[in-house]
Amino acid sequence: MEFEIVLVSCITAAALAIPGVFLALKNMCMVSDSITHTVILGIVLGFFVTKDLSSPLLIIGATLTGLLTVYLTESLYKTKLVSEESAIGVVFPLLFSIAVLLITLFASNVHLDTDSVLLGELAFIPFDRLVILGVDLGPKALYFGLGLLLINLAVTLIFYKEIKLSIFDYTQCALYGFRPWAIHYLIMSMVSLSAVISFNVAGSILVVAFLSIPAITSYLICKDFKQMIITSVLVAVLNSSLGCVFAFALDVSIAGSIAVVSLLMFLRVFLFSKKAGLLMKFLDKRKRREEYLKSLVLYYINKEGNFQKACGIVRDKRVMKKLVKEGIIKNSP
Amino acid sequence: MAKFHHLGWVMQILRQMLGDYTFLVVTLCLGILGATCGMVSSFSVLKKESLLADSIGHASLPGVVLAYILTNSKKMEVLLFGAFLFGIISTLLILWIVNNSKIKHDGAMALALSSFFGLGMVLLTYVQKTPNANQAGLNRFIFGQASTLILDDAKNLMIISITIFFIILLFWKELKLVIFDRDFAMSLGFRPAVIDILFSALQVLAIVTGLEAVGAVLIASLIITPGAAARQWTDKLSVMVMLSCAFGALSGIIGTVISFLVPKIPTGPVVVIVLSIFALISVLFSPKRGVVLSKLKRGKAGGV
Amino acid sequence: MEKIAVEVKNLVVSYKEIPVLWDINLKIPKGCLFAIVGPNGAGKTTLLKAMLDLIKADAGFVNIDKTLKVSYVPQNSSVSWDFPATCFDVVLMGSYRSLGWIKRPGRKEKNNAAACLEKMGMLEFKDRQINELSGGQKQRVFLARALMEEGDIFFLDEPFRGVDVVTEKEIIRLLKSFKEEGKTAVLVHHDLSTLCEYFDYMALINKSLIAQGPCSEVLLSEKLTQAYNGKISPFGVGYANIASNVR
Ligand SMILES: Nc1ncnc2c1ncn2[C@@H]1O[C@H](COP(=O)(O)OP(=O)(O)O)[C@@H](O)[C@H]1O
Ligand SMILES: [Mg+2]
Repeated sequence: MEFEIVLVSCITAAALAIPGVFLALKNMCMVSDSITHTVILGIVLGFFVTKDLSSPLLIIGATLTGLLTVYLTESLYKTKLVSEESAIGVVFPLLFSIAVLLITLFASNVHLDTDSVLLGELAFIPFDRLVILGVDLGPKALYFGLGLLLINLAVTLIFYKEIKLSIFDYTQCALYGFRPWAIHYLIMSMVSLSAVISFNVAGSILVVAFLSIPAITSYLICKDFKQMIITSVLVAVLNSSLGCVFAFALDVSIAGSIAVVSLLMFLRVFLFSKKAGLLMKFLDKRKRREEYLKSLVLYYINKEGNFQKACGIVRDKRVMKKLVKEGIIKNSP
Repeated sequence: MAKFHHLGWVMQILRQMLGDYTFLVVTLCLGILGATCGMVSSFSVLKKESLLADSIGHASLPGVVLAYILTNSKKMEVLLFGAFLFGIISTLLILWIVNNSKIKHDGAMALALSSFFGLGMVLLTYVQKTPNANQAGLNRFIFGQASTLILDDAKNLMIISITIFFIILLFWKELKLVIFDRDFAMSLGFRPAVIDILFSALQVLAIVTGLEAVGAVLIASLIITPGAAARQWTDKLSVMVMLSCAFGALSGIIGTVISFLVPKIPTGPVVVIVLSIFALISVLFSPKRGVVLSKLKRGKAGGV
Repeated sequence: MEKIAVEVKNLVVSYKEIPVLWDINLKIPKGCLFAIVGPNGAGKTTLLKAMLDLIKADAGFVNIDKTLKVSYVPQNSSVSWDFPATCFDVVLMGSYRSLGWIKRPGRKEKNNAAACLEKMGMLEFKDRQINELSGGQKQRVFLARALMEEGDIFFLDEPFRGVDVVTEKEIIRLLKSFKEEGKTAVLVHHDLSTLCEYFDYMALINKSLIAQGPCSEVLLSEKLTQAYNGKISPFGVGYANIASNVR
């Protein structure tokens, strides 16, 4: 059972990591937060139409609401009356609130409460099984996750060139006749669909973690688009498995634990990675600064012909002292 | 006759409302909360960092739970202090990441929002496992529960609100200057960083106070929407702040009244919807910048 | 000898350990119009900021005559244009230095602000939001804000970018009238054709100081091509030695 949970969360995380990269590169990470909230409205509305919580129509409806959210946000922003981030912050609470109202007013007797939608729980996955002709084929979530992974992979492979171009050079993309807005909405559909399918696994707020944290972690260390996608999928799988292990050991929320591990992993890379880590940067900067100031002092000694004068000119006394101590420059000419 | 009947019904509802102590307290609380958030909102929106509120709201959850775990007390002051600390920590984390890497604001905010919330979930599930833990009620910081507000909350809200009000009034000139032109502010000898820190603290304070009533998920709306709406009506900062306060307070009050009249419905979402209606009207119909009016103007110009 | 308003000595400024200004020595006489000229990215803005102590220098020092009050009109990139501030509000901000923390502008400051707007011919636009003005009008407002500071020495960073000719002439006329009062103005300027007409002295910089002196002298020399073509190492021989050291 635990194995099933690990498997499902790894697959879901890998599937989400792919559109997450696109979002991160488009500087739209917070849009994922917006979409994960508003797809609930789509589910509620779809439920009113179909009266069935397991209908596939719900998935389509919810995905469309995700797109609607993006559309509304962009329309509001395009009026130039509010800033981009304000537009996000105005639209999604509204749609989410409407969803909550609809649920409490008309659907409270059904199993559709905001708690489970927002918070989700991986631990329940193994109980909802796919049984065909009496044969137990494993948890349903596994198939949803696999399907999502396949879709995201397929779209990425087919439209790789277009997506890459539209992200890095929107105008160029339009010039080449690719309709960048269409690619934009393709990406948003991926995000939206991913949010819809995975929120009952992770809960909508933690879907944000799945979408954005692996992407920004790999963004720190990767220079190449393809490399970044692959790294982010690997990071996502690693985070999920580690997160599950911790959750089992401590008996706490699995999705929450994955999010925490993701943060720790990010911080590890952010602070200690050899290429981009803050620590390396700091040490490197210090070294460069010393070198630089050394050359500065030498220049002025050369120019003024006198150490004392050079000392008066160069301001960093700490480095000066160090240079003298190391014998790199002598106290007398 | 029918008219009179109607009036009688209204009077009856009114009497019912005025006689309902809880209702009055909740209305008072949400009115104050709306005004406070509205005031902060103006500056957040102008600083173009209002979405930070969404991050902070979510990120303060582990603070609440941790405060409960450490003190085993459910006193509001204690829990909210924990939330305040984590709000500050998340703000600093976001700034730290943005200043020291190529990651942009949005990425850092999404990171803090989701991972801190995840930590909150971990802690919550941990608390549920501990024996004799009466953790029920910590959940309300996620979705908010206005109906449980009591007079003490109103007092606390009042104190915090007045504090925020006076600090903003005191540093009005500096806030204005720094947000308008940072370089110039620096050249005048003011320190923009000091103002930034001060304002961030106020913002976190406002958010944290609203957690109990509105919840982590929707509090962002109270910090973003009133300012965005108020901006449409005026080109004077003072008027904008006043309007923004008014929008906040009015939606707080109207929202409470509606959720009193219609049984079952939660207050937070109604407040947000009322607020959004204000924003919608502002964006569409404000005389100076509104979409409808500028369309009309353009139509006229095109016709001639 | 004439009095010196600003003296820059051995100034070195760097961003991320890469020197942007190298060993600048500069003297700005009191009561003159002084132009800082150089190609894009030469470090003109940086020099201005270093003079005002807004960025830390690695070496050298800047002396501004202690008796002079300084006012600065930055390059307008840092302004938040959509801010709900009218022209009047913006000009009033010029009084904030003398007010210091917390104190509010009073009647005196407000009258003064109106007078400054008047001087720049902008009084009728007093209640306009700042972004509803043309480039030239904006610059007038920012100049009015500088007037509010009642400075003795003005630092203006590219005040003529995106500004109409009429406004440009008017600003120069105003600055020249200041000169009569013994005030000093230091401008970052781009247009070589108007240099001699507008300014008394200039400094030609491209990372290091290439030439300084009365405009006509500097413009005649071949230094100008040196600054703009950049064929000759702008740092001179001394830097070339050091540069190999740094690497
Ligand atoms: N904040 C900064 N960080 C790093 N480099 C900078 C910064 N500001 C300016 N520079 C660099 O310093 C050089 C000089 O810039 P600046 O003084 O703005 O030039 P100018 O005003 O003459 O066009 C440029 O090459 C620019 O890229
Ligand atoms: Mg410049």
